[in-house]
Amino acid sequence: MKKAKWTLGRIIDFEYCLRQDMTISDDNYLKKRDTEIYINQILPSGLTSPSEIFLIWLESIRKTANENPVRINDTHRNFSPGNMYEECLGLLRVIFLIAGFMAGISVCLAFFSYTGHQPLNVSWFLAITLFPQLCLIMVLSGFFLASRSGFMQQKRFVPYPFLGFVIKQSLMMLSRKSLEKISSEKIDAVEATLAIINEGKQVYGLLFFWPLFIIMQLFGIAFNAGILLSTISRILFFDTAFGWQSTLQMSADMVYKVVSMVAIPWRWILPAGTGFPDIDQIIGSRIVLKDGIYHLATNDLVSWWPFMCLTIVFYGLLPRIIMFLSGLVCLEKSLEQQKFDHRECSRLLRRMVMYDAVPDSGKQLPHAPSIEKLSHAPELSHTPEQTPIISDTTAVSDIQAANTHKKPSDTSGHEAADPYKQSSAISDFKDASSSLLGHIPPPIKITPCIALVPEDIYEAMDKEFFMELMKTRHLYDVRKTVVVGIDFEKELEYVQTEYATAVNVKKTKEKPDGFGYDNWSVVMLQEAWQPPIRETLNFIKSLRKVLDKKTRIIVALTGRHVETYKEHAKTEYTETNSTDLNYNTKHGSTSFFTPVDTSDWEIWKTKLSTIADPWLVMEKVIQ
Amino acid sequence: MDKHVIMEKIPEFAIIGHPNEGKSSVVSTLAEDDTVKISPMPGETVVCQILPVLIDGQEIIRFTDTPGFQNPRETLAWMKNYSGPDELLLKTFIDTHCNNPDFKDECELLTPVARGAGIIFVVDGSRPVRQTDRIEMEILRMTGRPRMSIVNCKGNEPVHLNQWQNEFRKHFNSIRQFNAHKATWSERIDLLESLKGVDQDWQPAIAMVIEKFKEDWKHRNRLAAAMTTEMLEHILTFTMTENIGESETFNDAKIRLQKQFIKKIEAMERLTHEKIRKLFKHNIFDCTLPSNSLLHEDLFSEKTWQFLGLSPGEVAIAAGMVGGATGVVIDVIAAGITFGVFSAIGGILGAGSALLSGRRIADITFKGVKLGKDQVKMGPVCNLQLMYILLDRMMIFHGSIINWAHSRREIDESVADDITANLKKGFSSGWNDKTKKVCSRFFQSVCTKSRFKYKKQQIREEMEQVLFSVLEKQV
Repeated sequence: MKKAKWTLGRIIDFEYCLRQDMTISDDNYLKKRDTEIYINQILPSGLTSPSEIFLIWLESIRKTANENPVRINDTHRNFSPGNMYEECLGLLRVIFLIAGFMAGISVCLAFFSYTGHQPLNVSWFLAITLFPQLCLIMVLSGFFLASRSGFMQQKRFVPYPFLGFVIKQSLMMLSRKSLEKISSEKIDAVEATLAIINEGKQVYGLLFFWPLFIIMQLFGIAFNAGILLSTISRILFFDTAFGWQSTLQMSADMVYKVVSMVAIPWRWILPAGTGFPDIDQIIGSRIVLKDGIYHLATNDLVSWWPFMCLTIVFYGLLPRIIMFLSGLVCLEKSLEQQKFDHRECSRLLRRMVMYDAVPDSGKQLPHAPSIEKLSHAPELSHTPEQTPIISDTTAVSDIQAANTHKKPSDTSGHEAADPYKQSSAISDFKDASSSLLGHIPPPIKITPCIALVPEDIYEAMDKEFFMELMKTRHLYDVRKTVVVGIDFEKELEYVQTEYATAVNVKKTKEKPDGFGYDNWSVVMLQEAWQPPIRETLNFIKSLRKVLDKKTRIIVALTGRHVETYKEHAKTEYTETNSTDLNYNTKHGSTSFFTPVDTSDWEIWKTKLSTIADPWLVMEKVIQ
Repeated sequence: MDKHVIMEKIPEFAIIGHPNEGKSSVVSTLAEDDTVKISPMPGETVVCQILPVLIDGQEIIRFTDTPGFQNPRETLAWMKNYSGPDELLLKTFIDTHCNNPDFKDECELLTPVARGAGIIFVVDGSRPVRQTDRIEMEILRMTGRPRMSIVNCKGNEPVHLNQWQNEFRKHFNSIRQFNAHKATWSERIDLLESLKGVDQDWQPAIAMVIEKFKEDWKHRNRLAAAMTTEMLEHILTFTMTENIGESETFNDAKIRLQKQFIKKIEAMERLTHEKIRKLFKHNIFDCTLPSNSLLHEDLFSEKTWQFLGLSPGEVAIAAGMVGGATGVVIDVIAAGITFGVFSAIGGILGAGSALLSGRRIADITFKGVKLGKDQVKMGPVCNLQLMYILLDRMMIFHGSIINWAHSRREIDESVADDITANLKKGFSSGWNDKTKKVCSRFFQSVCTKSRFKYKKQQIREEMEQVLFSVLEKQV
């Protein structure tokens, strides 16, 4: 069976499905669905690369959607924007092919309106058919060489910046009064749309440029084919004389030099007199207005047509064919090189492998995946007086051990509260997922991170419990905690230094498959009920500047710390898990980290999406 | 001090705070303007919106809704580094940052303060104080403008009230708790009273504003009473005449006319409610009436007649008052020589008649009268109970509307229940005898053809006065 491959249509479908998932508020439904796909289809296949995993996931989602087009809760339905895109692209190709061909013929028709009074001017023919094409090819080659040599960024000559510029300018042109009439939600939606375009550019680079490039080359091929066909038809079916003329007093010798230089690509096989006119033919085909054409020899007048046809073939048609084939190769290469590591991909991956059968109500720690012996990051040096850093975490093995060796019976007390327990089908599934959680499946790894905690909540929260949650729940190993909110500039400087140190140490000392260069993350704890103001968004943008482009920034949100919730959590904890060794230290923390309100989550999601950072992730500390 | 001098400079207050704290709600309630955009999405307000309060076409106070702080840390840092004259701090800040998109909101919200507005700092008391709030308070302190703080509880309970109060004491001249979604008229007046204490210079002007507010409120209630009286007159004397169709029997024509008649009466009531709604500056109130409100019931529905109006016994007594009143007129005509005999007889007859029909008050019937061969006439419905029901429904409507803060955009059943519970006390069955007597006299004067027009006018005025007193008590 032919192995499925990523295509542009599939990528569009994939992005579409991811965006549809973002609109589903039922996290448990998504987790269940994705874990099922992982257990039933991905694990047996033994595939581990994100690209392969996501392709299987996509195929499965599409298959389910086609089989049950109106399944409740499945918003994907059987609509495929990818198919639509590919169909449109196919149609565009045909349209551009026809249009190019017709344009070529039209240009020639205008040129070949021959009355017999005067020969057709070859230089004029080349000027209108070849010169613009050569200019375009030279400009493209110039951009290509500039980007290859690092002189200019490759993305500069793709349509994205232009498109972005046009949209932004259009928005700016909206008067202040018009903007007043638009609600903030709509303004955010516009900004979010711009951000999606921007994010797409960052994630997929030139991927969506190549189809346009290919279409343009198809137009060029058809255009040149049209010219060639018209010229040959003219030669075959009409008696047409070709000559040359110029107001400048150019000598025939000079013209011969130019012509022979143009004919370099083919003169080794078709020499002067055959592939291009020789010096005598050039002299004999010169049009001098005052002398008329009667003295010109027929042989000289027809000697130009092979040159004209070959010029079109070698300078018009062949470069277009080469560019068309290069476009195809580049597209293929771009598709293969996609890493699928941006925000929504990582969320999907985590959903697949971290299904938590017992919905968390802030009362119980999640099942901990057994954590391999971590090769801890070396100690990062810092000077206390200059730094807002609060803590280094060097040993978390105690916590890991406590969770790793948790007996299955530890969770039995909570199962009564599990709504999924009521369904036997889901119970079976739960068993399967429990076994899955016995190890950390590839390609998920526990990544070391620097946690940024606002000073307002630093004292009140249980740091150890937070770290434990981040590790067992989200697979982020908090190695450093930085208190932020006092002086953003200093804090950013500090994060930059620490991050650079960590990354450099990792690069030199660790195995490539360990915590590599781009594996460090930054977790930014935030209270979800505090609306994200521009200051917060600017801080995140500045944070991105001091980190690498693909370093994951996780905005970890927690709900409102309410006394009543604390009491509630405490009661439930006492009823359900009074024997838990960690109870005394945990109940305060679980009440501090509360679930995030749906409305707050949506507000953060909308605001953060305006940043257009594909590696900026939102997580709920407690689900 | 001359009123004109006081009002020359109109007091302006800028409502300032962190995004999504309910600033627009506070402004909407204070300025009685329900067209202010309110959204759960932070950042709905992007430019300042000035809401003048007009009384008799004259602007007496101005509230300015502002965007929330977006960049407080950098704003404060700039202000701390500023070394020019204090009075130019805000102007310089705005001039320096007006073209910087990062400070767009700060420039916008500080503009009214720079032109001399007082500050009302709004916070949500159901959330804890954070460093950003302290920074914002410090910015406001540095402006040097008179300022008060309002704890507007968006959640149900001001859990962190103490914490907020402790912080406020360091930065503000006055602190007040104010729930923008539940605030009544008297709470608004209390808030304005507090504003007097913010700056001594503003005391006379704000005192004047409060006085004007109170006068305006009385004026509105007086108008509402007049509108209600007029409505009662129209409804109780309303008649309709229709032709009987060729292929129609008298009974069919009667039923058709009855339906039209009821519709007309209900339309008259609705029209009056609409006028009162506009009087109290509510544009969107109607769609958010409590779901359990009896106003959702039709005027002639069984439920309306079961719960509103007077009990059969009370109707009998009220009717007795009508009868007695008739007797009084005869006594007056007989120059008192009857020693009140006619009054007593009239009272007994009236009460007896009402008691006999009292049990049937719920199923009011409309008797069509045949006029000539091909016409049928309906009305007037001179039913005492109908008048009391109309009055009760008006009381419910009035009570709801004056207790409905202008910032409320959607129904909150708990608030609705509060309103309904309060309204129960004000229904006509609880009115004193004096009030009921005036009502009964008014009923009689409307339903009987009296030659004494001056007397009718006098009774009408008495009725308006009584209704005004009742409406005033609803606050």
